[in-house]
Amino acid sequence: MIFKMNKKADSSILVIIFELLIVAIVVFTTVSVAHAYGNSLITQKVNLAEDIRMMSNTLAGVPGDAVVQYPANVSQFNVILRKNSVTVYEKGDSSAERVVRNFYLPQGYDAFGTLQGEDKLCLEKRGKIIILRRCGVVEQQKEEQPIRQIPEGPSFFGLEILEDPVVFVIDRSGSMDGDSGWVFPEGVDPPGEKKIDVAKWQLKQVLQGIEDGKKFNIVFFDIGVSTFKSGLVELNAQSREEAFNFIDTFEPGLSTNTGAAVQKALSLGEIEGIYLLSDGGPDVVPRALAQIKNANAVDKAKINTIAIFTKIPADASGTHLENLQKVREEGRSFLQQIADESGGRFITHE
Amino acid sequence: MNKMNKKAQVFDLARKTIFWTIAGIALTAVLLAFAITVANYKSKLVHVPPQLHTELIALRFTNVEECFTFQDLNTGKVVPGVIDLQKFNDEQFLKCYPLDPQTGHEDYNFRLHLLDQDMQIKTKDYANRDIFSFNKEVLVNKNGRLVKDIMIINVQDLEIRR
Repeated sequence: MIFKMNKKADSSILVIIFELLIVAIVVFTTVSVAHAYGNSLITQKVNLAEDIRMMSNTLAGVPGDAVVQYPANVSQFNVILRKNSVTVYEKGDSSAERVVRNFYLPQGYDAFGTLQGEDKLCLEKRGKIIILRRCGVVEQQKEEQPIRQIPEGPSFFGLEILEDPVVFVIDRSGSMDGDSGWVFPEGVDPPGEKKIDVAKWQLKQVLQGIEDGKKFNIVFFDIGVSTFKSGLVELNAQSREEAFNFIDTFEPGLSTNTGAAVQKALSLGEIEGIYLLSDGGPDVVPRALAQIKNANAVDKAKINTIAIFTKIPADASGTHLENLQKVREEGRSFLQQIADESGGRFITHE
Repeated sequence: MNKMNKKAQVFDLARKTIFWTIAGIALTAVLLAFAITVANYKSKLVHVPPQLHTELIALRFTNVEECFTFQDLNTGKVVPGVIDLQKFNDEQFLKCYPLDPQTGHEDYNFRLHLLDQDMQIKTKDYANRDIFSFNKEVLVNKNGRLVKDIMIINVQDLEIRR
């Protein structure tokens, strides 16, 4: 009898434990769902995309130029603005997890820009172009004055060479064939009017100025990437002569594969500084930024960037003028972002 | 005695089964209700009132030369707030608000009505079913003369498809 009673009591306890377990599972599931939802950034992502869409529509509808700053921190997100859409995503998001919002700008209008992990986001309307950029770029640009003198010390386009070893990464895309508008100081025999001519001349100047013993390399790029040597080279009379001959072999080529070029430069050894010269954005901006960020994640070389743009003809107007301005804005925004992310310096020559 | 115990055991098992069946249904209902509440809350958080959205889109109608805004051809100066009647047509509307030919019906469509001039234009996918509307006071350039008018902006929002 006692044995039977014990058996019944045991089974009752088991049932109670089972019931408690079920209740615990339900409570845990509910709390987990609520917690996951509370921590999820999806709502913020959607709101950011909606807000940028509305900001773009508003800018397209206001007369004159304007700048709007987004009133929240957006550093958790990457944003890509295109002519008819905005995409907001987190690092590692699949394409299904990215939030895309479409909009329709009036004919002749354009929108572009990429932002990766920046605190503040600004949308700027210049004429018929809407530019997505980090805030504060315009103010810095206003402070920067074009430097059009021969550098006296070892400097490249006015940027003093502070690092050792260094790699010079030079854009030789088709657009480098354009007129630089460079004003050569008196007594200097102009090597040419094209941007590539000025770049080659400046490169020789800086190599001439850097003292022997420092390590360096040179990378030229268009769609492909060419390096002077397979690793870092010590600067001396012989390597300088060889470098000059190497520089002379390059002429403007095809498109702009900046990401691969910087990636290659960073793989040449323990680089302290890179001097990247370009006249525009790469063919695929987000991919190039990601390539550079990943390649520089460990060594953290300072990437100093120099923007050199084609001189805008005095008679340029309409679509031609807008295209030239667009290329400038894209290039400037891209190069500035690379410098900012690596702690490097940025300079623009127009 | 033994028989009584067996009966009680069977009754106990049946009682438990009924209890857990009802409890299971109730719990499922609670969880479903919770999921629906969360989903509703989420959509509320990201909801943008269509009135706000369309008001922002409509800014261009009276401010941008690619839309209907008057532009002095001699000076090139655009005069925001002044409608050029010559531009007030469906072709110009397509330049102003170039909806995607494939998916345009899924977006906001507009019908604009200049009240005093009694002129109407609409986007290509407008299905003649206004969901809401709002007004803008404008000036109309009619043969070089400026006259006051009211532009009624009728909107066909996404609800039309539901």
